Amino acid sequence: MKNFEIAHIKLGMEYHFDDFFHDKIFEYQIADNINVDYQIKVIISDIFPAINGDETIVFRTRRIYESASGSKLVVYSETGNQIKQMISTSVNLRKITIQLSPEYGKRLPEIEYLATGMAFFGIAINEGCVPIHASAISYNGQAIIFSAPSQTGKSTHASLWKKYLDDVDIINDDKPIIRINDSGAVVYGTPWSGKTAQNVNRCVPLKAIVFLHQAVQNHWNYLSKPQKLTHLFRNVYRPRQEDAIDSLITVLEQLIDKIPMYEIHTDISKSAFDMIYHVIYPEDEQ
Amino acid sequence: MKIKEGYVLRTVAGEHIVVPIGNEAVNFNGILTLNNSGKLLWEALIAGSDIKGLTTKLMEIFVVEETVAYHDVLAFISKLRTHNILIEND
Repeated sequence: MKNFEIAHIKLGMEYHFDDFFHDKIFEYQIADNINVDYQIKVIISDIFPAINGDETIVFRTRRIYESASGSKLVVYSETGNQIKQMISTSVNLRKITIQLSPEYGKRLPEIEYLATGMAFFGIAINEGCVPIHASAISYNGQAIIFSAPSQTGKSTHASLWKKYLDDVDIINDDKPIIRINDSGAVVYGTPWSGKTAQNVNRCVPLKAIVFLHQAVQNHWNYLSKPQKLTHLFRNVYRPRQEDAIDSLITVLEQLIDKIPMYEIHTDISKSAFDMIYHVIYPEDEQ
Repeated sequence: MKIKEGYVLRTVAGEHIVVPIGNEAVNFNGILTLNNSGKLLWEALIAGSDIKGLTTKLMEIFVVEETVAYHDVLAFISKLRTHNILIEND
């Protein structure tokens, strides 16, 4: 079990594969003697513990069983007679055990990466943070978030900023974390950055959020508060429990108040980059 | 008819939204935004109502003609049916 501090959250994590974390995860590592608040442990075995609790959620091959001590997400095989994955989460999320069947074979690194990511995002919500499906960059010490469904061009737009400007880094290319603070909001990198290992262990003040749509004709609009809310809800990691939804809503309400958000319809040309730049920095003659 | 379990109504930044929780969060990945009359109808459907009752409630609160209220109710019910949020044969 190694200790890490990710988005200001201290956790111990025991995992098996580096195929997706690469060496980037060690940027987040902290000393073993530091007390941590959460633990995520991955076990590779096909001897699964007994299932207890009430079946509360049924979705295709997935079942969730809830008891006084916590919940178990169980993923069955397509035939339904074999357990492939069991994620046991304690009531306060302090201890999460992810057990994966060796049957996953070559996919084990990917499944481990996804499962540990989902576990961490649940913890992040529990800590008042918001994981958002986006590519986040830092430019001149400020963070800009490009959010959109998969395959819309988030990473492409992030790379345009790197191409046409100096002092641009990718904070996280898939699921950056937003945290509200006294002066506004900040964006953190995490070791979970989708297929690319593009993430850094940094905390950068958030300047703006851009919701992207593919279009031939470049145009944009400010988002009103209600529009900000629906766009955010569509692109953030959403828990299933009512209390967690309420904690998420509290954070989103502050985000809506503090941060300008835009809906931008563009292609991926230089003029698209220019338009977005001047939307966010109207005063700058760049 | 009434609203299925697994949906919570919240008002955020002045906007009324319906968010799925639990099993419903797996089946419905969006959120619903409601205007004031939608919020009124939603709250009535939490307890359970019918088209006539909903129409009467809209007429009383918003002082509109029956045909207007009736069509608003039908539109709202259709929206809930689309997302499979209603229980209709209770």
